[in-house]
Amino acid sequence: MVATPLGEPLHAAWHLSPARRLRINQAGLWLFFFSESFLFGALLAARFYLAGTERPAHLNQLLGLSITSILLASSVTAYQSEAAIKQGYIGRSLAFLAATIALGLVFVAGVGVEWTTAEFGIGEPYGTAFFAMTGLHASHVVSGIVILGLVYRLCARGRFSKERSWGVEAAIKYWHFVDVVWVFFYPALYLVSW
Amino acid sequence: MNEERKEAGAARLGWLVFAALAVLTAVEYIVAAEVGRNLVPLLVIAVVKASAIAWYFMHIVALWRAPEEGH
Repeated sequence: MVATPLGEPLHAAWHLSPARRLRINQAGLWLFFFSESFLFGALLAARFYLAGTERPAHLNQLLGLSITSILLASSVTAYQSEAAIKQGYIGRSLAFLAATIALGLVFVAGVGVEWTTAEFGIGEPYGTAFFAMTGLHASHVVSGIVILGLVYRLCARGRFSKERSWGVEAAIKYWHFVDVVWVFFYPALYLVSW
Repeated sequence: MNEERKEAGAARLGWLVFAALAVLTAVEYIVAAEVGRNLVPLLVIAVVKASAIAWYFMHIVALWRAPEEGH
């Protein structure tokens, strides 16, 4: 018999309570993060396979630290947005969502600057790893910005509330996941030495 | 009143976690500058930072907790 992730027959899924459906949504989102972590983990492993723990001498450390701080700051504004909507403060939630989107855009711009000013080529082992890792990560940041933008629009139109906040919560969890990935990518690309 | 207190508590927690993450990032940077073989300490700091985000911001514990009605 075909069953839902929680073991009920599939036809029963149509009659699930909101709480049960939320639980399935949460499980699905975390499974997605789990599958994505293999992709990013493979890139992280490839960085050390290709270039060992070596890194170029003239990496722009200040830029790396700055974009890392910006992404961490965007995680706290995302968290504040989620906390606000769960308490029913829609206006405050929207303001923090807008701040998160703005910080995300600054992060992407920072990566763009890094790409255009990098003193290593894509053909070098480190360059291959660097451009692949930052490129894939930045594409996730861009998709996160698009998702947060859609959520902002829906939220502004009254689609979400204190009682119906899963859409906001899911988008923000995705944003935090992208931040977690960078928490590992930043030291691997900019700081590590052996 | 109770809602306001919950909101203030959640907001404070968010800023505290952010402060901790900022300090850990600074420590990471200093370790990279001062310690020659830094793979292990950097990995430990990254795991701590990722765990803090997953625990406090992503509410990973909610996966094992009965959800509230609604949403």
